Amino acid sequence: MRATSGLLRLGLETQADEVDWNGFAQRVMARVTPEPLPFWERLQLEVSERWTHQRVLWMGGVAVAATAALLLTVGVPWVQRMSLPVGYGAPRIAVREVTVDSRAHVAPVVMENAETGDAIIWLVDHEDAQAVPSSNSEDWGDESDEDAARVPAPRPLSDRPTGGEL
Amino acid sequence: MRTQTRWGVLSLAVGMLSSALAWADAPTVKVKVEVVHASNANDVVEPPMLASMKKKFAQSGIHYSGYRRLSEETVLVRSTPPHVVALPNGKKASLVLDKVEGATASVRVALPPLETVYELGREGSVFLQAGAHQGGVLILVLSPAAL
Repeated sequence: MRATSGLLRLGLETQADEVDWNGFAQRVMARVTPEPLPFWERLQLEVSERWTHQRVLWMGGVAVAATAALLLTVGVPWVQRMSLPVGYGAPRIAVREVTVDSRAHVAPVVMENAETGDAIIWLVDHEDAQAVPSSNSEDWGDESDEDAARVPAPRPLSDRPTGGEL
Repeated sequence: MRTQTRWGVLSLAVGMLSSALAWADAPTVKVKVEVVHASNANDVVEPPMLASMKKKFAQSGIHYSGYRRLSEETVLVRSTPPHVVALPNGKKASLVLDKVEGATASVRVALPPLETVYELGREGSVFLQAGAHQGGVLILVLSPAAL
């Protein structure tokens, strides 16, 4: 049996040696018309192949991607917040409270611009200011306190401040 | 007697140290404070960057031709003691940290007869009328410190 097998192999090899195999593979491949699979099919195939044979690598890649996404969504804003000076968490300045001592006979006019955060707080004569004797200004101790109601008038305007946009 | 004195000095030192640590640990915020003199006596805008302030005032209906910055400083504001800014017209503005909520702080500014509270933000300025001065008016400008 062994001798027969050897003879058979020798015969087949002799026959095979007589054939010119040069360029055989190229000729075969040239006859095969490559027909690309649809995109989704290729993708599914690729994923399933990689999942089957490179599962550990895939899991690592997914873990790295998840960590990167977490850093981008949580870490970057957190670092930005931490790098801000204390108290500057709000994007814009906002006036919360304006009060004037009633004895001053002036009224505050607040003009805010919500877009820029700018706010002008101006004091104008209160309507009962004329009825108050000027000697009352001494109540403030500092005479200049009443100056707010007597600041030199700006140039004549068509409209006085009304609390509108800056 | 000597031992009692030593213990007294030691406790005093510890007390002072803890007070100093508590003071140092107290929240503080940085605020830029400018004093600007606006008048119609001239058309000078100094420094030129005050042109934007002039424009903002004009858009609000307050027209002064000249704006001159008299002082500029970045101050640390605490809840106590108040930071006092002396103005050239004799007035004094005192700034205190009103409260800190989360990452946002509020500053209380007392400029008799006006008292305001504003929330700090990364953009914008608060312009407070601070009384007459040399034929014009003083304006206290509070802005975010350099971020």
